[in-house]
Amino acid sequence: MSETRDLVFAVVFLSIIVLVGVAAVLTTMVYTVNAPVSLNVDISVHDERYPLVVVFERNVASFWCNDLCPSSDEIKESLRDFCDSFDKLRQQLPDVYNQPDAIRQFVEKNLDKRKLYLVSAVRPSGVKLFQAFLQAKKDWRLDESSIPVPEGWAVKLNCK
Amino acid sequence: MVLGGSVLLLGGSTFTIVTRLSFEATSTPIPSETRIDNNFYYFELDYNLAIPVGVAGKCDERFYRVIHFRERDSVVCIAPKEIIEKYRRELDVFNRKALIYSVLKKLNPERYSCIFLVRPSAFDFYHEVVKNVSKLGFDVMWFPLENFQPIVFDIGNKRLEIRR
Repeated sequence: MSETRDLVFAVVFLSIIVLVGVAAVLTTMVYTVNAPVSLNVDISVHDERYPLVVVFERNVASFWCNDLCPSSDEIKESLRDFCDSFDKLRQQLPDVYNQPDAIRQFVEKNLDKRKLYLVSAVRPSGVKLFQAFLQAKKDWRLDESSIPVPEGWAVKLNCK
Repeated sequence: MVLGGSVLLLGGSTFTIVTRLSFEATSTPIPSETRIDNNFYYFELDYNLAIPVGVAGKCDERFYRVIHFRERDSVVCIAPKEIIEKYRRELDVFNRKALIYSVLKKLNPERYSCIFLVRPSAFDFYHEVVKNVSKLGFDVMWFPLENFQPIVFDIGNKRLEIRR
């Protein structure tokens, strides 16, 4: 009698373990399918110049004004000045985001090339604007770099 | 790409499944190049296909229909869909014998730089391809193209022309 009870108990216990295993595998599969993808973008202070990230997305350009890398007060001030000026311009010209010529003129005038350089993060939806921006400044060379960012991928900026 | 860890916790009479799965890729920004130079070798990336374009203005006629505009000193290269379909296997970047790798083997990385013309469908594959090509010692640059936008080499002005 007790052997039968032990057997039933063992079967039930094993069934629970198998069910938990199946549930874990299914959950893992679902999470894998919907897994968030992130792109770690390594940026660095280059020739003592600070990386200013500009994102081209849905035909809009926006500057990443966060203080990402350790930098001097002078550079922080330069970054803050640039971003404050862009905010002011945005108030005056609300659709400046999608005007490559206006962005180019603003960058030319306000980017202190001795302290800052541009890093462009380009989404597929921002290709047209990015191309226009590059074309607009073809006679104006900056040591700049850029990176394609697939739609839906999160970007993590790492300062190296 | 790195697959994040998955943790299964069983505690007491209740159990909790914690899954932390995420895909991560790491990449470094590189120059986006519109100048053309005899030492640049171009590849077009569309989905998982890497199509060898060739040096500026001399597009590989196995894959491209090439149109010369003599009066404007420019060359337009268009890859017809049916031809790309025919070579799909040879162009697949996940195929170890893909053309991109055999072409690169013949190029001297001290002389040539690789420029990737990247379609929106290939923004994710780009990161994997660039990693592999950089390992071979090539300097890599890129330029984004919209879907169906032709590749136009403005030979006179030594620039890629953006034409819609």
